[in-house]
Amino acid sequence: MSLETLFQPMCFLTAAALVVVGLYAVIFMDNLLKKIIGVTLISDGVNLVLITGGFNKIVAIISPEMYEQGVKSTAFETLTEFPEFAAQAAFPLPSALVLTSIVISVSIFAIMLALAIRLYQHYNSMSCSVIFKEVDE
Amino acid sequence: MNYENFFVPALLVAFPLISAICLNFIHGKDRAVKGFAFLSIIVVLLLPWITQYGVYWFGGHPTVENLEGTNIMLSKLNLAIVYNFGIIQKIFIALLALLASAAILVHFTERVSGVYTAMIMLGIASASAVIMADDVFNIFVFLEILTISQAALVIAVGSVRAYKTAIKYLILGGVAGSSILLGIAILLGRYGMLNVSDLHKVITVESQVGISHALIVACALIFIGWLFESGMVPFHIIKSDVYSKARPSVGAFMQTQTKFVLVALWVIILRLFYGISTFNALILGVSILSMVFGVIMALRQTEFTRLLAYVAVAQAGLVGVGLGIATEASVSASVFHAINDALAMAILFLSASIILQITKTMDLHKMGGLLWKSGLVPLWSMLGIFAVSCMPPFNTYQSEFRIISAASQAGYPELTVIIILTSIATFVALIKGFYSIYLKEGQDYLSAKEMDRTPYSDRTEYVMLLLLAICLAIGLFPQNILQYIQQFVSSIGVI
Amino acid sequence: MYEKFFEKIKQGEDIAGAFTGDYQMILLVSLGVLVLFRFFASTRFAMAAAFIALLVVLRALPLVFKVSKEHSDTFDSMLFYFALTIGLVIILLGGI
Repeated sequence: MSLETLFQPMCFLTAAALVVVGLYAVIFMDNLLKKIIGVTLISDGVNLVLITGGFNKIVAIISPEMYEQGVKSTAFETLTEFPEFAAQAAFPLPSALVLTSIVISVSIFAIMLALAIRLYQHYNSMSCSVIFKEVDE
Repeated sequence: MNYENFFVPALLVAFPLISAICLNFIHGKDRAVKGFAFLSIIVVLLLPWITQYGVYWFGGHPTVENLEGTNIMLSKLNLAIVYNFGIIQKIFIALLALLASAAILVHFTERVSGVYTAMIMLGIASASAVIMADDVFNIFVFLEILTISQAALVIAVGSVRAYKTAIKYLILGGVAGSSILLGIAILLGRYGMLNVSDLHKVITVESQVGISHALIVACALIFIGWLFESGMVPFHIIKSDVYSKARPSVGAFMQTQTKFVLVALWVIILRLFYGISTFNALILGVSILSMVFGVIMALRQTEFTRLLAYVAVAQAGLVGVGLGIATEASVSASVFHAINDALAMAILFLSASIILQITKTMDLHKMGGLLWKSGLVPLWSMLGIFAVSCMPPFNTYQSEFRIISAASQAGYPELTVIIILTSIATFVALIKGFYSIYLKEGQDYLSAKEMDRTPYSDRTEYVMLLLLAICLAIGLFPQNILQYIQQFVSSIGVI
Repeated sequence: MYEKFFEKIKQGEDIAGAFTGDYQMILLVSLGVLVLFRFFASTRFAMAAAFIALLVVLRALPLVFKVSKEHSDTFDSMLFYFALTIGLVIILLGGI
């Protein structure tokens, strides 16, 4: 069990821990900012799952054998290292997805934090039991 | 310029997005915002009718064939994001554009906010993308944008109650969106692709040996996301809160978005997860609960927009019931009901907008006696109540009748009783609202002289009339739309 | 049960709607259990259905006021039901 084979499972475990801690924060914490941080943690955990899933070389689209055959054609004579590269390369798509997801999360958090500031200015407290107290209107 | 190739489905998403950015820039300059908003409305109304039908590949990347010797179990692979645009997508997007235009035009003589109009445009763009896209990640991105735009429209009202609703909605929406993304991550890690048609083929091949656990977990996570986006139990409370806290004209637009996103997202998750044995049963159970709880809460409300919002949630539950029964007849009936009910509820939300202008309050205890003070609006509201309660000759009668007969044919006679009672209870709730607003006597403000003929927006009344006319037309001639819906349902392929 | 409704009338609340809501709930429970038992003979579902029906029957009528209270706008109750739903969905889809 070298460090290399343990890397992907450890990443998934870290992501799971992030999601669980985030969910705990959202559900059980009383402070509004801590709930927002919980949502951040959940989204961080999910982004980590996305990237770690792409670490596995098995999902690379073209198999090493096919590229080995392709190397023999005239167009790819100089490309002898490609099969080794393809066998070890990670899936590049998840990085693009994570970038998009981070951008969306940033905009959602910006709005949430702005709302938290406004609610604090009105209620002078960040406690959810004070802010979301049901008043008979 | 080659005009034939210009009106592609991507333009239906790109134009509202660009228009939203421009409206943001010119926010504050009143006349510029009004002019640009008016132009955007005209273009957005026209675009669905002139866009070409067919499949649209982003960047022109086609499907790739001859993939023998690879690890992929497919013979053809979609390399790019794919958008489908057919007649049903056109109907959905055209209705969205109509109601968004109504939401903007109703407040046109007041000071029009650029950011507000931009958020409505963002809502059109995101809902259109979810309806058309065949790529799971694209759908996730636009669902998050939809959440942001709906929260922004609630924040625009400016009261502290609206801020509280918005932050609750954003927190729940952030968690639900992360849940969808986690499901997509599991699908991507296992199958290596994001296109729904390709995933459908790969999952079909794989399910011949058995359903994998990863697929079930991915289904559960994306299902939670679907529950949030369509306002089903347990998210029906926050969704009804959001519809009621926004302005009523925008509430009409938002409930339409929800119903169409419900149907579009259901088609996607059905094509991916139809092999799981309890999938349809779960959708049926959740929808029945949403329908019944929505109506029960509607009967208990003392605020008119909240009552309408709960009725909208209950009708979305009825659409879900038809989808959960999962026969061709029931699915076509519920897609038809989504269209019909979106139109009918919009009539009532617009009447709430007129009432808000007259009485400046939505509290049913404080209102009353508006029957002779609001022109012909009570008549249109009554017809709208008939439309929402599924009475002939309106369109909702046709669709609900078909759902009920499909339910009894599929072997669920108990469901027919529940659906009929829901429809009756909806009528009771709405008539209670109608009585409290128009017929109740003895309110203080009625004796004041200025209430004799309070001015309200005529434009809203015209839009209500237009929607009523569309409801009647579809109700009297349902086959015109139903044939396209039946084609669409049989093209899904897995029912 | 009559006394509970009478108290609410004295407080000025709307009762006709509450009655209709109550009929909805009773019908939902009875017909829902019927559907569940008719279609899902699996132990998992039968247990879940019997447990829920037992809970509802044990609670005294009227049901509709309790349902309304559960539907309050508080954030905590929303998050509770969200967590409950995640658990139920994963179990019912067969993921565990």
